[in-house]
Amino acid sequence: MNIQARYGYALSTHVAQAGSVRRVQKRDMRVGDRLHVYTDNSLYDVYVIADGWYEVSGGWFDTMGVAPLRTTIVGCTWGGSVLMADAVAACGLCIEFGNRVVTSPIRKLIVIRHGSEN
Amino acid sequence: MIGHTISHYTILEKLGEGGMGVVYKAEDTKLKRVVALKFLPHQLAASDQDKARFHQEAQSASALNHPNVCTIYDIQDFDGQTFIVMEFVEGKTLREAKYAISMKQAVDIAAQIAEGLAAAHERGIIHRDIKTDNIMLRPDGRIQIMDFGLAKLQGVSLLTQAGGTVGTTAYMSPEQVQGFEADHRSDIFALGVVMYELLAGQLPFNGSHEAAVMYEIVNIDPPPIQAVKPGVEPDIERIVTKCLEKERENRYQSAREVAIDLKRFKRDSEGKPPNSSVHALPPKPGRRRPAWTTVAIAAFVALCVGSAAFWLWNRDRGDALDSLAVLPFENAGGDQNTEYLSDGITESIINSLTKIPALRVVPRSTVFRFKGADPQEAGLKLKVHAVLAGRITRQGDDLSVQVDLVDVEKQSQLWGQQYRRSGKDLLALQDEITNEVSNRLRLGVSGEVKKDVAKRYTDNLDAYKFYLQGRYYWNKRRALEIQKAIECFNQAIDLDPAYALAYVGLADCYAVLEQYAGIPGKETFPKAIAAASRALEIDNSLAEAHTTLAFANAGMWNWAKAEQEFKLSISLNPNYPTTYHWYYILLRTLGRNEEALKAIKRAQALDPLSPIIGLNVAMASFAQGKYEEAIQEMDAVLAIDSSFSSAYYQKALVFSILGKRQEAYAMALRGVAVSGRSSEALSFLGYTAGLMGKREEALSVEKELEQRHSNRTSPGFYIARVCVSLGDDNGVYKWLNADLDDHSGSLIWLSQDKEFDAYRSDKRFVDLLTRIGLTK
Repeated sequence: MNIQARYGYALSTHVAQAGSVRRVQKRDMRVGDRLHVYTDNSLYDVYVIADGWYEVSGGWFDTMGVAPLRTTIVGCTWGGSVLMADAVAACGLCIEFGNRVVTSPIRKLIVIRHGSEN
Repeated sequence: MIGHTISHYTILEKLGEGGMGVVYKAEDTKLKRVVALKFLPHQLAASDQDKARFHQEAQSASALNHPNVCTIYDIQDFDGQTFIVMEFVEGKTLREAKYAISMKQAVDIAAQIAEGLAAAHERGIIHRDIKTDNIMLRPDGRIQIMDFGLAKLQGVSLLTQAGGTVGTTAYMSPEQVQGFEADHRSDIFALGVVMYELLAGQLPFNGSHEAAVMYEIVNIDPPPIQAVKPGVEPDIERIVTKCLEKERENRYQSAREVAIDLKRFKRDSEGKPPNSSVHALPPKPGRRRPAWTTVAIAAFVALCVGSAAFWLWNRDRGDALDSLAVLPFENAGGDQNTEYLSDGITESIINSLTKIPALRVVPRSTVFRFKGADPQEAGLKLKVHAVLAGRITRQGDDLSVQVDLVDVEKQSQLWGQQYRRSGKDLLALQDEITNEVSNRLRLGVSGEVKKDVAKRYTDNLDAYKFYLQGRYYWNKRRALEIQKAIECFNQAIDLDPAYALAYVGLADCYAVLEQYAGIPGKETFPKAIAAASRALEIDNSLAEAHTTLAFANAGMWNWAKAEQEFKLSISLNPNYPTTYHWYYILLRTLGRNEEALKAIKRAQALDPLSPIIGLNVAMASFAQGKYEEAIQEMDAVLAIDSSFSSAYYQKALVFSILGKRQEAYAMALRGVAVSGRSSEALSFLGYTAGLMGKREEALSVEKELEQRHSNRTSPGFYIARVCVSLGDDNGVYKWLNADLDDHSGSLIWLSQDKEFDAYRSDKRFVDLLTRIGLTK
């Protein structure tokens, strides 16, 4: 018996869970907004530079020496292929960036609106 | 654990385990139902963080309950062990069950999948990996769409994952194959693949290897289901066909529509005789195709015609087998440290057999795309008469090598042999295989050619191993690996100073070092010339050495010498694709575009699947002003290799010349992302950003490239390209002159690259071209 073929989550579980997930949606982010994302392992800084484009630092991007990297955000996943496509970040889920980097699960999100920084 | 009772659960069997848990099938003795128990491993159980995470996983899902949900029933601590009690999903995967499914069941299953997807899509959730493996079929006929990636992630690693591709090739949509982001319509395409598979009993795109499947997904319509499995209703086929449209705009726009059509089909077909039409379904629209797809189909038709001609001709060819593919030998032990050996032996056999003038040997860059392929199928795809496949197992110092030579047309084995030798006999073994293959092909090879084929460039086994390692690293074409390759070739030379091929390897490394590592050409090309010249002092008949010498001379702007060496190389070996590829670059630089096109087409004929050669064919079209053709050819390259970043940013250049600035910018951004932010990709991003008026962004890219230039990882040419878009003429000349001082090979593009067209009448530009010998 193949564990990978039997142990996972049903798509309908994700669908049912989606409504109660705390998230920041793509349409809510404006150019100049900044998002601090605390994952299980790291802290990411996501800065909106254009519609659909972000400058990302922290975590993997710092480790690989490519920060800040301009990239897109595909959406958020539960760690598998299923994607919450309209989310920039969502608690309990992982961000999948345009360069196919997937973070560990998100614990906390802070949105800093453009112009609110001192 | 099996047979033990924990709390009120009797363990029945182990289902599997990963880093974050072991899962057992168990019986709940109180409720008399089968459940799955997931235990935290002992080594992790001590960590509060892991325990907390384990509890969180259970709590987040336990709030949910739904007939199709993989429900979590409980979380328990018992006798120091923490475990989650979960619903056990009875049934089989659709993949396991598909052979026992009737057409009626298939339609019902497809409708359920479409319903499940519709519910997800309506909440902004897409699956991206719909396939028969990810759908559970319960005994009651209900299906459950699963997300198994989660189990893998939780079972293996909690860390950031990088570089994976989401999806499974055979079920991917054309947009996913080409590296574009998936949307809900990509799921609809995958649903179409699943439906096709259930109805026809085979996948719609079933090429023998991944690249072939990807090509088919983008370019080829699958065979009609009725041709594969007669009796399938035309109306159900129409639904599948609409799901499988190449352009997402032409597919169903929602999974709900698919579900409705399937249910309507199911309802209307009940009680009707077989093959009756369902009038409520819309008539099948004309299969509109974009121009490039039409070209691809035309190419496919041409391929079929060519294949037919090939077989007709083949009937009269007599006994000789005059074309051969040597498939990459399998590294049976799987030890990555000996991968260079299996790859290296393959390459050495290819190189030796290439010396037989009457034999066409498929080049390395093409056959390595067929790694692990079935020899018969690979032979048909590559249009060769014979295929050599091998398998190497290393046990200590001993080697076991199995080789098989297959006649593709007759579908029979020409020869097979199992060798067991000491590693010390590697060179002799390789000679023996090469000799045997040339005999079995019945080509009537002359004694002189045989001698040439059997020519051994070193008798020093350790030097040979360093050479193979060097080639292994060189083939990776990345800065660090090329540096490693240089070390290996130098070690080979230390052990055998008369080893000509090791000097060729060294020359090849230095010839491309500027391109991949950004080290100025004035430091690298002279070393390439020295190494290639030394190889030719030892053996003047080495075509590869002449080719590299030619390329390095072009880098040093010695145009006449470069051309002389290219011609010499072609006379020695007319079947080495790299010669024509690099000769094309020279001809293009010299403005001899017609000859350039012929050269690159010849390279492509010899190595049809090479992305870099395919891209240069596109660039040759571009140079001739055939912009749409260039875009189609670039798309074809991306269909073969969607991670080939140069194709994205060169496509950005074509778009920018066509005035499609938004598309150009988007394509450049993609190139930057796919290339991992290479300097060349950045230069196109800066250029397209500048053209779009995104001045700040262009300046930011310029600054980054200046930094790289100071670290010697980018030529000035790339910065000059950004300056062009900013109208910064002084910047353009500052950086081009810096390259002039560095003797950069990148300046060879200057004479033809269209982004510099506005400068061609400027005296400073003409002076610059004059200094590198590119004005008449």
